[in-house]
Amino acid sequence: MFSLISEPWLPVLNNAGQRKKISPLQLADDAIIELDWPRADFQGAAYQLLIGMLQIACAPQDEEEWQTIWEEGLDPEKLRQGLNAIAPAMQFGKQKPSFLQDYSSLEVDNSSISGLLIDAPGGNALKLNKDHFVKRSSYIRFCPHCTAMALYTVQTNSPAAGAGFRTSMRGGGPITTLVMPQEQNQPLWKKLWLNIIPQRVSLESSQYPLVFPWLIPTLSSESAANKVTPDNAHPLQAYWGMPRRLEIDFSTTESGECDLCGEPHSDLLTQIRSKNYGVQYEGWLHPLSPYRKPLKDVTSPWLAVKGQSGGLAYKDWLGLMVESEDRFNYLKMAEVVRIHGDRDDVDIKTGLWCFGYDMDNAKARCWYEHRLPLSLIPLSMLRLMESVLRQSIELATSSLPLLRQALKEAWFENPKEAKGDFSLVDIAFWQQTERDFRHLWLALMKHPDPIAPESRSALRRWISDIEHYLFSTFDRQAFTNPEESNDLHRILTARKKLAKEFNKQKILNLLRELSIERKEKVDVQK
Amino acid sequence: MSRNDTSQALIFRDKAACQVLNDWFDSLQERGRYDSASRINGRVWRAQLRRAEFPHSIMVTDGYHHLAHQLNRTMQPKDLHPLALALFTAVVVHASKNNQDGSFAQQLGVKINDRECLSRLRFDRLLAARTPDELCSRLIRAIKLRGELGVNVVSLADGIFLWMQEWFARQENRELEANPFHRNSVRWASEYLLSTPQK
Repeated sequence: MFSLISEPWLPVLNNAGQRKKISPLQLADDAIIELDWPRADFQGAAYQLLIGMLQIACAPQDEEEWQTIWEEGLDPEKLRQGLNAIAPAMQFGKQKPSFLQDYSSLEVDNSSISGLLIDAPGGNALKLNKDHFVKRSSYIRFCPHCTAMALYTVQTNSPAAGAGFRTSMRGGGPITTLVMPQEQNQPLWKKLWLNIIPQRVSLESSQYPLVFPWLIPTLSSESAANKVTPDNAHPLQAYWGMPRRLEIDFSTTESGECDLCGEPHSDLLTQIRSKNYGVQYEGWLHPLSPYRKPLKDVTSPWLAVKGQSGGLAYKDWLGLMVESEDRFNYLKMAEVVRIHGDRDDVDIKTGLWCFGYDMDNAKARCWYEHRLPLSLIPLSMLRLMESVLRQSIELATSSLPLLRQALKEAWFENPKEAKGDFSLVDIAFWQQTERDFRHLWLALMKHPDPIAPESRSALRRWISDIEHYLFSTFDRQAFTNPEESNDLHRILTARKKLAKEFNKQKILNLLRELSIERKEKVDVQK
Repeated sequence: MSRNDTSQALIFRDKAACQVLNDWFDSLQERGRYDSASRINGRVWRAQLRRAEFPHSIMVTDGYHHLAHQLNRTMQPKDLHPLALALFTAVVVHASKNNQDGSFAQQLGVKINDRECLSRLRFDRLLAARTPDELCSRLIRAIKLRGELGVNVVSLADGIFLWMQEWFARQENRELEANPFHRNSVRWASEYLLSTPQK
């Protein structure tokens, strides 16, 4: 049994590059610059856990107080008081209530502790011998520190896993966006502090059960009526969701080395008990995730943006930073990003750190992590650039299907019947045109006024970059066999059609018009 | 990038060299022309070339030597391979005139009486030629089909020289040109297609 507040359980790096373990009470130390978990998903989850702790323990009342602390540092004493107040909820061990675990004892059979890991093969994968990439029995013994982190990670990302296994309050495998300094060697507490939201009312201890769901018997979801919403819970429960009913078996232990961090421990945990119908969340807007909803249906709820194959491309950037819309959806940035966008006197350059799982129900397809290579810019400026950026992205979005279609027509006698996965074309497109898009973005940042000659010439360059990409990719991918001349007619016909369709696009003509040098104006007035 | 002008010559870029080709072809139509001191009879050259067997008999004709001599002054030796020149002379003598309206492959695709001058099937066979001999006989057939319309002499020479460069590269297992629009088959097919819109 240990307390997540006072136990030194967080692996960190200090500014000399040394690794050690600290407790959250030591967070105010300027010399500590980074967390150092052995897994990327733990690293991302640990940030969210600590942001949640600070949000409860010492959230500022308003922006001014936020700014004062930013400049003067966290007061270790205030931090200690705030964290100690929530210590009763932060116990981890056999005795209930225990951190993120069910209040009652679960009457089910034990299973392997690897079930806490999101990418571990599930029951069906084991039965059908489908554990090709992540093998069974790779992770069977966890030290208590890693176990606590794994528990938080699975509850935060909670993917769908069969009947009654509830997803996290943002759905399965949400994308998290955190505001981060561009310089990596800033103190850890500052990296966390950038994501703290001012909060007028402080938390009373009587409200704890509304924030930490493990302090009371689980509001299980066998009945559809039993939903947890921001109205019948506390908004801060967002950081402490508990969609899974889990119980760690603290009595079955082994000594040895932890399979995750590799450190020796006398009481490694090996077994858990898990049950379906945990807490079902509805109607939450998590402060650390961007959201979207379809243009067609205004009544539908906001859905957190999820990981997708290929990761986040620059077409998604705008939606991560500002309220906007694309062809299909309204997009809304995470609340922490919105609040940070209004802060204009932070003395360091910031950017976005985006991460999350790409899940196919219970199957983890990939973990994606992006550091957006762009500094967050003031909202007012972003709004000025927004429409040009959106149209520029639309040019890319609408040109890509033309390329995919042209390649199919070049490759196959009957392109309509061609089966196969063409997503490689898409993924390559978004990744390989990103550099050009960044040029455009930077040029527009310098000259956000779309009428400025510089922004117009950047736009012209973007158009020709896209065109160049389409045709050079087509040529490279279609004329693959210099010895074979049989298919040349087909390839060349496809290429001709690509040129025609590309130039026919409405958005292209609109952008071309926008980008034309404005010399004729005088003539028009005559 | 979407506009790759395949009708622009790749090898015969030099105006002087083009001039040599055109003059030489013109001289084939004349019986008496004086070139510096000596009198040349182009009709005799043409008759010799039309009868000579490709490649070796071609290379011993006066017409071939005269052209080789003239081109040597304007072109790099690496671009002027004897076999390529022999192929060109063997083929071009069957043309009835030098028609500079459009590129050679484009001329093959031009519709006459609602049908391509050279049918799609024949054109594909032309592209599929594996040896200089095959190419030679298929080109002669194509040029004869053009009949009175004639062919673009410089453009024909450019295609033949490029084809031979690629053929040598294959013989020596060298890498072929990476840019498809610098490969002869793609260039010819593109030109041919340009003059016969599909669908």
